Order: sequence, then C-alpha cells, then structure tokens
Amino acid sequence: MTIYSFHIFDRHCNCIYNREYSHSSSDNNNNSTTVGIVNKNNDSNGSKLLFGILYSLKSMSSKLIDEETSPIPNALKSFTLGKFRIHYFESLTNLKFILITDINIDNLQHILWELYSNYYIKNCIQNSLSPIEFKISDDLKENELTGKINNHNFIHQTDQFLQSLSVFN
Amino acid sequence: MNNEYDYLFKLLLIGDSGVGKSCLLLRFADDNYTPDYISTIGVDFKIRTIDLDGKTIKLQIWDTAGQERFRTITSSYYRGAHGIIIVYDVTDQESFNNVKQWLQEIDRYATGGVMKLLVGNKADLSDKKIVDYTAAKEFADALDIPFLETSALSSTNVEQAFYTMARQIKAQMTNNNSSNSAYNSGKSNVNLKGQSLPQDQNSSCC
Amino acid sequence: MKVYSIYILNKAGGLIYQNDVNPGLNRLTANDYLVLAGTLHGVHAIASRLTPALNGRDTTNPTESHSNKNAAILSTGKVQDANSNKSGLQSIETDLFNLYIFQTLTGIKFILVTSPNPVVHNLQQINRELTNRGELSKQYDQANEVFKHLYIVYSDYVMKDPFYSLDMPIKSSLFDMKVKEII
Repeated sequence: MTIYSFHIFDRHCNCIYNREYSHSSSDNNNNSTTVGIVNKNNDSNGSKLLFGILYSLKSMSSKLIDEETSPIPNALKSFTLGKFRIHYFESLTNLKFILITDINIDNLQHILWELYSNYYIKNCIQNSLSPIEFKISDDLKENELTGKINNHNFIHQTDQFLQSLSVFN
Repeated sequence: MNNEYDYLFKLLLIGDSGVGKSCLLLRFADDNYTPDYISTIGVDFKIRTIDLDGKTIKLQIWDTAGQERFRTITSSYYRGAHGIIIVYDVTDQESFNNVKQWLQEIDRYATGGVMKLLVGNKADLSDKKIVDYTAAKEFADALDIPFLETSALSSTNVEQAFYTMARQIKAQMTNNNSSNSAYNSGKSNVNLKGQSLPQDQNSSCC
Repeated sequence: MKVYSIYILNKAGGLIYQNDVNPGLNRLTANDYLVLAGTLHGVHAIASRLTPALNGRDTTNPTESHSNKNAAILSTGKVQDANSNKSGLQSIETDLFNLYIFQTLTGIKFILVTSPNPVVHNLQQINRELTNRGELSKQYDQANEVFKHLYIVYSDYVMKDPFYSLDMPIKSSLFDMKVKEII
C-alpha cells in the first residue's frame, strides 16, 4: 500500500498544490521528508487531464442520481485508473483534495477530510498571509508567487501526517 | 429500453482551434444546452436525431478540441467514426493549409473508406476572406471530398450536407449487410491489389 | 451488490445497449445517455494516456503487451483474460452507486452500475477502517463475474445474430432475456 501523490485544485480549476512522493529503493525513513517534489507539475498536462477526468466523473455522478430522491447530493469518492486509485474529496468551497494511491487502499475520505479541516484550514485559511484566491489575475509572474500553496508549515505538516499513516508505504 | 433509435452514427468534427467548429452545429443539434466538456477532456457531444426511410437515426457528433495538448487524445476519438468533417476558417490561410495535416491524421487513425467533408467556415465575413472558394473547391475535388462554405448565420447547407452524409453511411451499411461486400469494389476496405496500406500501429486495440 | 444498469458501448464510444435492470438511478433522455457514454469513452482514453505519466515505474509497454496477448490468442485459440482494460478507467465509487468498466480486446465496453459497497463513515474510526480493506476489490471481483457472463451472452446472442449490424444499437429481446437471467 502506497500513497503516490497529493493534489489540491481550487474552484477555478487550478492546481494549487501538487506533492509527489517518491518511494525509491533507499528506504531510509529519516530523509523521506525531502524525497519527492513539491509544486513542480501544477501546470503540466497531466494535472490538467486529471482535472478533466475529475470534472467529467463528478458531473456524471450527480447526473445519474435523481436529486429529489436523495437527501444529500451524490459525491464522487474515488475511481480506479490502471494500477492507481484516486481518492477525491470536495469541500463546500469547491476545493478539491486528491490523493493518488495504489488500488489496495479502499477509502481515504477521512484522511482527505483531515487534510482539509485540520491542515488546510489551520495553515492556509487561518493564516492571514495566505491569499484568499490563489489565482488573482492572469499575470503569469504574479501566479508564480501566489498561484500555489508555498506555505512551509502546510507542506511540512501534511507530509508528516501522510507519512505517519500505515498505508503510506 | 434502448428502442428510441435504429441507427447510431458517429461523426467527428476536426480542424484547428478557433475555426468555429462548435458554432457550426449550434443550430443543427437537438438541444443547444451542452455541458462544457471540451476544455477538460478534449471533446464535446452534439446529437441530432433524424428520420430516414422510416428509421430513426442518431447522429452523434464528436466535436474535438483543436488545442495541441489534446492531440494525442483526440486521435483515439477517430476510432469507429462513420464520417469526418474537416473545418477551416476562410479568413485564416493557416487553418486551410493545415487541412492537409488533418487529412493525414484521418489516414492514420480512422477506418479506411470513412466519409469525409470539407467545410470552410465564417463565409459571411466576405471582406476578410482570404481562402478563395475555387481554390478550396479544386483542392477538395482533387481528393474527391465534398466541399461547402458556410457560416453561423446561414447553416442550411450544413444541414443538407449532414443529411447527405447520413444517407450515404446508411446506404453503405445496408449494402455491406445484404450483399457480399467483396463485390462492392467502390468503398471496400479490403485491399485486393496488394498495395501497401498506410501503416497503422497506433490504432491497435484500445 | 445490486445491479442498477447495464450499458454496452461500441468501439467508437457509442451507446448501443442500455438496460435498467433495477431502479435506483435517475432517468435521463436518450441524448443524455449518449453523452454520458461518450464522456466515459473519452475519460477512459485520457486515463490510458495518463496512467504511465502518473508514475514512472510503469514498465509494461502497451504495444508489447498487445503483441504478447495476440500471440497467446493465436497459439491457444483462446483469450486468457478477456478484459483488456488494464490502463484505462476501471471503476468509479460514489456515495450512491459504483460503476465498473470492462473492455474486450475488440474495444467493446461493458459498463455496470451497481449499488455502492457499505463503508464505515465514522471519522473517529480511522484505524478500524484502515483494517477494513478489500471491500472494494471484493465487489470488483463480483462485477467481473457478471461481465464474464455478459460477454458470453453478447457473443452468443448478439454477434451470432445474422440480422445484427455491427456497432449499431442492439435490439434483441432474446438478448434482453438472457441479460435478465444473469442478474
């Protein structure tokens, strides 16, 4: 069981956080916090296509269920692509939290909820230095600075939290 | 149950981005409301129900995105298409030049003998028109592809072209079913002359 | 596991069969179902392109595995594993339904929409829930079992029907009946 990566998309479909964990051969737990990359592939085609899949599947999930018969709107929880399972959670503010794992992990809804309610809210919402909207204009240079979550506490704490899980490796 | 239609034809709409592929079909499709899938998965769907000889036919038109990042993906949408419509912008020479590349894509990814149609869009902008009608017509004739010019303002000939295409596809289909298809030398997919066919490894299964 | 609906998509992504076996899903218009099928086809195509990119360690070369598969079919005359859906979208889990996709070697997609599998929702029970794995794969196996039977019935009653034209809507009451028997 492995967690491969962690993404956050904001309500404007931008990938505002992208953390890829590498589980390479050296199983030295001490330096595992630095292994992998942060915010490198936010604008890559891969991220955009991942969002495309999410968007389509999300609308499909709500379409297939009659809204009047179900008390809560039907939410997409996860889906499987090849050897991966992609876990999905959307907050009421349309932030999308995504964890990519191998297919042996059934359900990470609570983890995603935890990431949102504890780590994101604490480090990004309650942080007065953090922008409210990550994409404030189409100006690329400005987006370099504000378009992503570069908050060290957030990165560090979520890393620690995810790595502490028994399913991480 | 699935009794609402007798035939389902897949038509593919290709061409550079910005040539107005989507506008072309606004009036033709059953309902104008379409969810915006094209920017996310590179394809949008328009459906038109028509009646031909007492049979209900659904034309499912796959409107593909022209952007480069969807290029590898759109190629997988060619599979099983019955007809392909190549659109260019009459006010944009580049988009007409690229028609050749789109035709190459068709040869690579689509089924042999697929119906083709060349459409020059935005013909109402006559003062900005760059691509000459006769030049395009000649080009299309040389390749034996039907050609027409249209605009979002007058889409009647598009409608006509789609009907013609649907009729041809249906005729081809009933032909192949009823008679021995080997004798349909015209559009047969089997190459009996031993010429080399375009290499097509990418479209092996899935 | 309760089966709500069965869809069959031809290799072009067109919806050629639909059977709502049990109530549980919203009723859409025929056009909406066509769009739905096309979207699934598109997502599946994207997914197959995306999966090697998500992780560099994917070593299986798709063309190579295809030729291996072909060789296996030619030598034995039998398909070892009829499901060619190795890299694309395989399943979707939502609160109120699960969806499974099975793709044959010829590109036909069978789609099954079922009831969701039971999940512990209590946030406090993280540890308990983590040990509660395998529910999804169990239901996945069940779905695959249904797919196998569906494929057989499809081969026998659709493909061998002399009046059926390939890739067109399936309108065979016999097939309908056989599908009902499976469920």
